[in-house]
Amino acid sequence: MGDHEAIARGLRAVLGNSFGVDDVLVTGIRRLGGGSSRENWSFEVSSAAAGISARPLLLRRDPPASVAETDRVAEVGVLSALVTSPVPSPRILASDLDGIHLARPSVIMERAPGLADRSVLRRRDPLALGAAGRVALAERLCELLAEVHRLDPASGGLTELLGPPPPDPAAHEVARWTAEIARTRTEPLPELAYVGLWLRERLPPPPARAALVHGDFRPANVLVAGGQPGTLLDWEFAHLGDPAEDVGWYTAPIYRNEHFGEEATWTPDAFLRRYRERLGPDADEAIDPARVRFWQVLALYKLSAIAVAGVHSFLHGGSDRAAEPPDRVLRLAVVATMERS
Amino acid sequence: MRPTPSEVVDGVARILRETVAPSVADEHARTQLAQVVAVLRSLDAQDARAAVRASDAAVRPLLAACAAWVAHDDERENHFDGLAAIDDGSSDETFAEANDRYESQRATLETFLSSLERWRAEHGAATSDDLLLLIGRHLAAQIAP
Repeated sequence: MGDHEAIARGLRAVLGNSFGVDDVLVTGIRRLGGGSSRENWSFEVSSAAAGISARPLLLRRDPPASVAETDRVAEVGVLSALVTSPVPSPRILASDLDGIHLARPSVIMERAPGLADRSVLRRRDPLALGAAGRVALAERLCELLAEVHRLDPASGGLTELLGPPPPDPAAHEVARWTAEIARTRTEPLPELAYVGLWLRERLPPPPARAALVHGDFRPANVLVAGGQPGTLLDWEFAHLGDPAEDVGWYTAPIYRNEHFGEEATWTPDAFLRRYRERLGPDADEAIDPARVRFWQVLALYKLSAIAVAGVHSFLHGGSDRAAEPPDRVLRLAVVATMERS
Repeated sequence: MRPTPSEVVDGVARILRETVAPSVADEHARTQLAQVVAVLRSLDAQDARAAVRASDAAVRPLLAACAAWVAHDDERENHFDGLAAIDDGSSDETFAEANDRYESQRATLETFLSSLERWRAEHGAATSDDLLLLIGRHLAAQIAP
């Protein structure tokens, strides 16, 4: 089922069940670009019985073959737990986790205002924020990440939803992505054998305090409205672990221009200082240079694994996203092991 | 190399046919789309063949350095295997032949790294740090612009 009419039929069924009405009207179905591990479809829903008129919603559905194995139930659980938290996150209205009506596991959520653009901090300035506005937004994004890490996993119910954090988050993540590479590889990958060795020889000790890790925190996953960050999107990689994982992901060299723009005043060091200001001494471990360096390299290892999985999906017809040989990200992962911290 | 040039063309043609074409209502646009697919299918794999042959040539001295390091003593000889030299390809070999040989070289290097990781865990890292750095520099050497 890939056509708009079939999706509209499925949406009517799922939302009708959720609202308890039988007059659901779905209009304006449109496949959005991007989304390598989920299909995103925007649409509007109306129902006189439910008192809803052209309410903007978003369908997130599993693709036929995802570029990364993630847990739908856990993602829905995290978003449910975040409803009462200070972290702005999408509100789920209905789900079809077994894909009974929508062919594949699916979640329907509110479409929040704002625009998520991966180049929002760059000089070409798609939101016309100006240099000062871009730096101010970048600072707010850092504060948003600190807010995520400030959450208490125990009090928010996250531990129950996600299970306890692994005893050794670094070893757990290396093993996870190594297994993903083994599952999807289509050719020998000595670069990843090299980077995997580097990581396993430098595992940082478990963090003193586990945190909710977003797993893909970056400007492209934050809706921005009026120059301010709004809803934080794409929680499919969320898990309990080492908060330094998000710090390393955000500051990884491959994202330097995208996450810091070209303004001299907003640098990885400035990011770490602001993060420390927001979290105080709790942040010291997460910004420790050796720990951040490990997670930066892990970020490249993870991106390589996703690229390798993208090639696998492309070759086996499970993805409508073309893939090229992942040579560049593989080599950048090796380079990351050689850079000075 | 995966996807190979022909695999890229096949995959892109499939996406254009299954994902893009159904949403293209305009007849002229459909015609142009078919033309794009035809042009993609005509692409020559010669550039890819040359790139694979160059990469293959570059990895040979590295594998020779690995073999020399292994030959240092019997303990290493007993721990490592599979570093046998692979024949040079002929100058008129096809892309598929060049790619098969290149993948064999990369598989050899990958297997060697796995063995080296175990060796370092059992014997300490000091005696192989220089070799590992050499391997890393080789793998990092060809950054795409």
